[in-house]
Amino acid sequence: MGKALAVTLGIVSSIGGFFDMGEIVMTAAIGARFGFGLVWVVVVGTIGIILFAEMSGRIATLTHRPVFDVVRERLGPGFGAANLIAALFINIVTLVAEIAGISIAFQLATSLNYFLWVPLAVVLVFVIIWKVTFEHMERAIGFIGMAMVVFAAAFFKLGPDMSSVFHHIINPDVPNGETTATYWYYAVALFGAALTPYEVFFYSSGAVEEKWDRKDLNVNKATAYIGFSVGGVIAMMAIGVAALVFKPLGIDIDELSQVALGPAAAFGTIGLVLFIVGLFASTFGAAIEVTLSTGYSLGQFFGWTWGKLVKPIEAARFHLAMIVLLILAGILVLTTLDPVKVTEIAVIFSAIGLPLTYFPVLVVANDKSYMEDQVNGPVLNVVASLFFVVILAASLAAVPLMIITKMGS
Amino acid sequence: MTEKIDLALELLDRQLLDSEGKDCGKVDDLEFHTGETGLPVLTNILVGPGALGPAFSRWPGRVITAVWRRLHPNRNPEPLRIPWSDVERVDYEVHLTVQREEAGLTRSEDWARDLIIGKIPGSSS
Repeated sequence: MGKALAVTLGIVSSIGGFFDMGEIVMTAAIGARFGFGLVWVVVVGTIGIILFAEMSGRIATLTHRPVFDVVRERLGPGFGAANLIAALFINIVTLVAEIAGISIAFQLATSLNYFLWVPLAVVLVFVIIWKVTFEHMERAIGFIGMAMVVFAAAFFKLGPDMSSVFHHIINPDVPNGETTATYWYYAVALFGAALTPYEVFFYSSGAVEEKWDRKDLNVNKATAYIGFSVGGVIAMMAIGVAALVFKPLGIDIDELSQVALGPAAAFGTIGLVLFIVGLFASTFGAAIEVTLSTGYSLGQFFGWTWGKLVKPIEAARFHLAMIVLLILAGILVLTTLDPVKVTEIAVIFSAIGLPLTYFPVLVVANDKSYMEDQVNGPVLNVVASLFFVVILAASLAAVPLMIITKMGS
Repeated sequence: MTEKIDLALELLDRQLLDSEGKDCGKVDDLEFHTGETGLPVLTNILVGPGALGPAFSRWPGRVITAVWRRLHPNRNPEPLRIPWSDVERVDYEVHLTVQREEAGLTRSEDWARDLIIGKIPGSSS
């Protein structure tokens, strides 16, 4: 495969990986309530996921060991287990949200209630993981997920006054009727949506499975830097669409189907169709990634044979764990949990659990015995270490904010 | 194996690979006996939940150990031991000279395969 092609594919799939249920729900809810006031959080979050993914990809490339192995190796079984339990919890809540998202995409396309589509969604995710190769899966989902560019197009079509938009982005304020606490609560939620841990487990395990070596370090860099930046820009545009369509009318987003009204307001039926296609691809892709990353985390903690490139029969526990997870998540969706609330819980808990995985990655990316000459450079190291402070602050603030604001109400 | 290694950092919690390079667990704990000189000598690598449970101090460790005891076919199960003499070399991983089946490291993997995964169509392609 040519280098340019590899880079393009990597970028496309990381755009797809960035934009999932968390982004779709949180950008719309936040744009509707806070206008452009929280766009800066997407910038911070995007820088974070770039640092995190690039370091994890580099570690995986040099040591051929993915994140979870490294966490347990460096910090012992206690820390590793705490990390594993946090990851399992976040992953299951995230998977419930993504499966609800897939089912709602079907509902929007067919007008049949989404509960009817849950079993199909679960089976589809399973079949892809069971049968389809890594490359095909990543590419197909990445490309279909590009339908989410509809948010960028819709933003420009709605024709906002750009100087006023920039003014609001650069001088963020808490709108009337919102408290400082809700503002920061949603800031943490949006931050968590950008930095969902499964993305990094999936990314670094994929690098190990595809046997990346030093030649691939540039692909790693390009994928992380460009892919996630483009994802971040689309997320900002999605906030913008909600700020332009919902905020002036005072509409709060409490159902996923409302989000479709943004692209529909700009492009009518075509906007709606693109949104449904993009919603399907991005939640479907995310569901596959969350499921795999749960198998990866368990397999890497306990030392099982794991991997998408291994025949299922040779990685039985890995596949069994994923089947159990999918069934459990499907059942939880059917208990009529509110998909929007579940998504909010998933992104908040992502923010809470983030220091647990970011810290060991930062430590190992600086360790010469693992990284040889590829340790963090001085500038990168300062930025990545400062970022740990941001992650820690968001994590510590999340629970008090959640209690004070009664989850943002 | 004469070179120096830091057991806690470079051996404990590392991935075990068998003679065919297949994954077969983690170095969950280490067992020493007192040698002729009175100094501790590393004799066994302990693998599996039976070894991992006691490695945690408080209740999580007791839970892991209790579940493992309950599920184990023997009445008084012992953690799985790999003699240090079966270790070929240690790098990012710990490489063994034996096959994982011989070493008894595939009990739960076999269970998952025989009971469920092997019965699903397409599992071996």
